[in-house]
Amino acid sequence: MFHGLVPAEILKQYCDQHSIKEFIIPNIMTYDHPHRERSGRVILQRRIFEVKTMRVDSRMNKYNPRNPCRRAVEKRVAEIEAHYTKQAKKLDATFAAGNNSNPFLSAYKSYGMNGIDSLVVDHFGEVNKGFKQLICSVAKVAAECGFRLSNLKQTFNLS
Amino acid sequence: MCNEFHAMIPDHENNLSSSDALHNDSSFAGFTLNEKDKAGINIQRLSKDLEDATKEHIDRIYTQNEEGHFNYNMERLSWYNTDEISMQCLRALPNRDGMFKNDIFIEAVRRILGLPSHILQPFADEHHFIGRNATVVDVHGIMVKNAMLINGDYHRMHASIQSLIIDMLKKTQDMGYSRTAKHVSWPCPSRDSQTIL
Repeated sequence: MFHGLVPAEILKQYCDQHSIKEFIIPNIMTYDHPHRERSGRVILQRRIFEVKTMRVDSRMNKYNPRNPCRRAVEKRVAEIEAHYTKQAKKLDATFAAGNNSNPFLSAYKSYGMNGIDSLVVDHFGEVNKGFKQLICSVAKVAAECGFRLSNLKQTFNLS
Repeated sequence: MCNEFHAMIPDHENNLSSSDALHNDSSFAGFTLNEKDKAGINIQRLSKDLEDATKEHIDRIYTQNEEGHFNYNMERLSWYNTDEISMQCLRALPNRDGMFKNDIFIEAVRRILGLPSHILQPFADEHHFIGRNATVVDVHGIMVKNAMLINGDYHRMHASIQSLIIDMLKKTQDMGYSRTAKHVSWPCPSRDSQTIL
């Protein structure tokens, strides 16, 4: 995910490293992902997605029945983002120690709006806000394209 | 030809009234006999008010945390955590096409409501164990879900959800949505996948 975003000499060190635990490998990558800005303009983005599932832990730390205001999915999302940022900072410290531009962190932040997009599915089948937005945007695009396709078929009398 | 077709249909089917077609329930599917009858709107409003009142009542019970009102914390958790996405499986009612089997449907509903698992009931007697760590099977299936199993445990759920999202994106990809790449990173990341991407 850092190809073309991190200087070649730093990237080579990163690819040649022996510990696979230090790699940042998201679950899904998308390219040309349409995103509507506040101005209404649609831009195409690279995005990375991390899929996480959750279970009710026996001590109920995440699912706290006494504090229902903060949902477990949103807690998990915050954890994932913090983890990815920490990993990117760690890579900067390891491979670009004297470099103030933080190549790995800035490359990571160049994906999506500000890095990783978490897709969390929990014990009761509930999902986080980002997952809902993804489902809505995919459904909208599919509906629009299907409508255009049916219009084209009608125009040209295609079966 | 139309005449021949009508002649083929038995007489009783030609003279069907609206009550015959709707099995003596003319209110079925929103049909009304009276043009000015707006009872449907009132009933809808009434049922919405009743649902809102019931929601408020249950919410108050859970907020006050009165022990007598709920048996398990799971019910409370489900009340606060379920959303419209988790309720979607209720739309896939069991049918003869086998879209959603009866036992799965029951299990899904019980999970959403935070009730004890129907399938695990015979095993939740504190004498049954599961997983490599041999944890005791509980009624809600939390330990079953957390258990480390040979040939698949909760990793399987992760993989199926990941595949579902990729399928979803790929279907829209054909419509020009976005190009998708799956990292072969899970459960054990391979180094080749990183270098390719």
